[in-house]
Amino acid sequence: MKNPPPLTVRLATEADLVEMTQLWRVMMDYHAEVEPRFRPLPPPAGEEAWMDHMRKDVFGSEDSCIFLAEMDGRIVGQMIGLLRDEYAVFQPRQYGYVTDVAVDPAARRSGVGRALFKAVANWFRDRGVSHLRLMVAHNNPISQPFWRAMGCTDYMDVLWYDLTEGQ
Amino acid sequence: MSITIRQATEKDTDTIVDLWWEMMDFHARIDARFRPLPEAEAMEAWEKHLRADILGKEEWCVLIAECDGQVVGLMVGGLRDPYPVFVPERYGFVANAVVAPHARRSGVGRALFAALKTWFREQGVSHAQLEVGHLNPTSQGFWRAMGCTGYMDTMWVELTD
Repeated sequence: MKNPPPLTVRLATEADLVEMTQLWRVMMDYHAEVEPRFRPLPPPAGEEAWMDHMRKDVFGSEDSCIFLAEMDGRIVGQMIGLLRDEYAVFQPRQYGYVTDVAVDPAARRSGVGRALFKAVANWFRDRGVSHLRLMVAHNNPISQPFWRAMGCTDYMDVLWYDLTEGQ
Repeated sequence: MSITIRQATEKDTDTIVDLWWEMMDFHARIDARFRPLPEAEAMEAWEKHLRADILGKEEWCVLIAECDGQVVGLMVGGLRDPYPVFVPERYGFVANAVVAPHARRSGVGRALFAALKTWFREQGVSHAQLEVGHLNPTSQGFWRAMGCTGYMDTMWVELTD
């Protein structure tokens, strides 16, 4: 069996954004495929909106981290961590939020997600964060077992009600 | 038992905050990860939020259920825009729902949600979302009986291990 190329994990810079956006699109399209209620903007409007958000809110923010996984000099995975303030009625005051997770379909099942999560979790640990939260599409058959294998447990369920029913 | 549903006014603030705390305390007892601030502090913070951001605002709807002149339920709904990477279709969300324990299983929640659905439809939204504690058997049963289905799961992982 051929050994997979070595995997490296590093922090992203804004220069990576265009390449990251391609992987982001693959992830968004996959979600839309498994969950028709998930409706991303089509290209190029979706890409533009995401890049705009990344430049404005994520890159350069001390409360965010963006980790990339590379194989053979190519980005095969990405994961974003955001240090978030809890609503004013809860404690502790802050928690870590993990979002925009994508792994290149060709690089799945080779430890990319696990390596990224380790890096993001350590970034939060260094900031004294006690727990992380993240959202997984209920009907996403790849992400559900991945996150459960990472030790995640169900906290809240986001439910959907169709108001056009019975109209 | 006849149930009346009406829009809340500022005069209802104390009653609403009491019911809200009832709900928070209920959640905290069934899920240790759900950690509201101590009672007085939490109630003060939420009352501030209710007065400043919710009551009387066009994008919010605060409904109260009454039985024999007594407030027995509360449902707070609002309108939200999706993140800019999604098709820009405004949707409704249910922020809070609570029924006084002695008035449960008598149609209070159903009557509140019927009124909130009417409000959502009047605002022109085609779907609503809401979050339910995964370990909350009362609310899980209620919302699924109302016809809601699972969309996203909010997961939790401790970092202290």
